[in-house]
Amino acid sequence: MRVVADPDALDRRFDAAPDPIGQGKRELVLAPNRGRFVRKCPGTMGLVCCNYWVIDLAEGCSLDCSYCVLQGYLNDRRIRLATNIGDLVDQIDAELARWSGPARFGTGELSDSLMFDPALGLGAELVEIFRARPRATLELKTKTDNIGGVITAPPASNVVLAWSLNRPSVIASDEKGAAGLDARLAAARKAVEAGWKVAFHFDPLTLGPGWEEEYSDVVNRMFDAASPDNVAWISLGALRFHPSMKKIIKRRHGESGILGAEFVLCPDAKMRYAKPLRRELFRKMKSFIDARAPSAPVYLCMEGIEMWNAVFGHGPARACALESVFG
Amino acid sequence: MKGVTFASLPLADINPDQRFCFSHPVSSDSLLDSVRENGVLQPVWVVGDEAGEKTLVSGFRRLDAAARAGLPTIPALVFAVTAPYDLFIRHLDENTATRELNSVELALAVGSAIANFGKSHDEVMDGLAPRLGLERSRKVLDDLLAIAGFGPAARELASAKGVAPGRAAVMASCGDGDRETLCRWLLDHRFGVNKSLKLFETIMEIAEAEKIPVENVIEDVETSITDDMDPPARAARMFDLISARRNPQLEKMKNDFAAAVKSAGLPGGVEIIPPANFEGRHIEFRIRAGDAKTAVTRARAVADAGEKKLNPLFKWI
Repeated sequence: MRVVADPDALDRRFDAAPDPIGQGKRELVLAPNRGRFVRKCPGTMGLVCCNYWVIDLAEGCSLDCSYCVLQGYLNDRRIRLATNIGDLVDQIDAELARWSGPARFGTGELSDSLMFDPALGLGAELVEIFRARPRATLELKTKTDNIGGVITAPPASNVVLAWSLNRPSVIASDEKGAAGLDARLAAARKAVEAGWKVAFHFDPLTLGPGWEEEYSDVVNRMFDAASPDNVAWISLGALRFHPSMKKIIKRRHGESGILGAEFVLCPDAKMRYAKPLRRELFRKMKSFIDARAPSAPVYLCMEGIEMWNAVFGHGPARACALESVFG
Repeated sequence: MKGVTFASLPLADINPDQRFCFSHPVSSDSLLDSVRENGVLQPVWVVGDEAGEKTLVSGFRRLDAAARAGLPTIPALVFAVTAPYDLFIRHLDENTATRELNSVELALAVGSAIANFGKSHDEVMDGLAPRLGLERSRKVLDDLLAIAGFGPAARELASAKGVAPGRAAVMASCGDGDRETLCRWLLDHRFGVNKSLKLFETIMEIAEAEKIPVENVIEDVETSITDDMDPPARAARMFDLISARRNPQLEKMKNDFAAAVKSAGLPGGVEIIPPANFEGRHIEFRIRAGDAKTAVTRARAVADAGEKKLNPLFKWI
C-alpha cells in the first residue's frame, strides 16, 4: 500500500503489461470521486428503460468475467473506490428531490456491489443511507456470497440483495473469481432467512450445449433458496457485447465457449443472438419461472418492446408486478 | 558523409543481411520496370568489413530488381563497420521518412529487433515503437510478433494497404497450417482484403463451432457451387454461403421474409426493406416512380394488398 498525492499521475492503463486488464484488477485506488457518482442510467434508444440510477461508488471489478463490458470500457484499468461517502449522500438526495416516482439505485453497474465487503463493509453503510430514504430502493448486486456484513443489520424494506446467476458450466468457464452457484444461492437463502428481499438477474443468458436443462435447474434451485414471495424481481438479459469485445474475449478468455453461437449486429451497435434465438431463450426462461412462480415480477434487460410482446404478450406498461421498476 | 563512400559494386559481391530486411514484398514488378528503364537511381547501403566483404543492409528490393533486370553492378553507399543496431535504426528511419510501412513490415522490423538484435520487449516499446508510429502497448507488440510468424499467404493478406496490425492479427487465432490453407484459398479466389478478413474470421468460427477442420468448410462451399459460374460471381456466392452457414437463423429470416414479400404480390417498383439483421420495429416500403400516376398506382397496390397479405411480412416482429 502507498499513499500518493495524485493517483491519476500513476500508470492507469498498464499497456506494457502482458495482460493490462488483468494487471489493472490487481490495483485498488482509494480516492475521493471528484465528479458525479450518481447518474440516471441513460438506457438505449428504442429499448425499454427500467428507471435505474447508477451509483459509481466503485469503478472496476476484482472478478474477471469473460463477457464483462468493463474490459473494454474503462480508461482507468485499476479498481477505484470512492472515499467521499458524504458527497454520495448529497447527490442521492439531489436526485430524489428532482424525481417524484419510484427510483431504484444500484452500485453494481461498473463493479460488483459486495466484492470488498468483508474488508470494507460498504454494503452495511449503504443500507443505512437508504434505510433513511424509504422512497428510494437500493439494489446491491453481486456474484459473491459476501453478505455477512449486510444481513447482520435488521432488514431494510427498501434494500434488495441481488444475485447475478448463470448456468454452472458458464460460471465455471466464464466467471473467474466469482462464487459458485451453490454459494450464491446459499447466500440468497441466508438473506431471505434473515428477512431480506432478494432479486436475481439472469444476465447474460447464454446459449450452448445443454442450456435448457441447466437454466431450468438453476431456476428451480433459485426458488428452492428463495420462495417467490421474497423475490423482488427477476431480470433476463441475453448476452450482448460491442464487436470490439470479441477480440478481448478470445485473447483473455480462450477457454470460453460463449462466442460460438450466432450473433448479429443490432442498432445500438451491440452484437446479440439473432432475434429468434433470443426469443426462444427468453420464452424458455419465462416458462421455467412460470412453472414455479407464475406471478413473479420478470423483466427483460436491454430489449425492445417487440421482444416484450413476443415473450410476455404485452409491454412493460401492463406488467403490474413491475410497477415499482417501470412506474 | 563521414565514414561513407560511394561505389558501383558487382551484384555478386553483395551478401544480403536478412537481419535488416523488413521490406515486404521484397520483389516488386513496378520497381523492376523502373530499373529496366532507368537503372537503379538510389544507391543501396552496404557495410564493408576489413576483409572486403560487402553486406547489404538497405535496398533489398533494389538489389532484387537489379538482379532480375540482369544488371551487373549496382550503386552503393559503403559504410565502415559500425554498430549494427545503430545502422538498423538509421535504415528504419530512412524508410519511415519516405513511406508508410505495412503491417508485415512493421512486424518484421519489430521481430528482427527482438530476435536478431537482442532487444527486450520494453526496449522495443520505448525505443522502436515511437519511431514506427506505434502505440506503446503490449497488445500491439504481441500482434506484431504474431504477424512476423505468418507464412507467405497470410503475409500477402496482412500486408495489403490499410490493414492495421490489430486487424491483421485476427489471423493469429489459428494454427500455421490452417492459416496458410485459408489465406491461400482466399487469395486464389480474389475476395478482396475486407471480405477476406471477414471470411477468415467467419470460417474459423464455423470450424470452431462445428468442430470440423477448416479444409472441410472450404470443401463444402466449393462443392456446393457449380463450376460454370464466372469467378467474381462464384466468389460472391461463396461469401454468401459462408455467411449464411455462420448465421443460419438470420438466413432463415431472410428467406422467410423474401417468400412473404413474393406472396404479397406487390408490383415492381415497390421495394420492401426489413431493418438490418431484422433488429428493429419497422419495415420500409419504398415506392419508386418516375411520375405521379405511377406513384399513385403503386401506392394503391400496397393498400389493395390489404392487411391479410401484408401481415406475414411483420411476423418476425
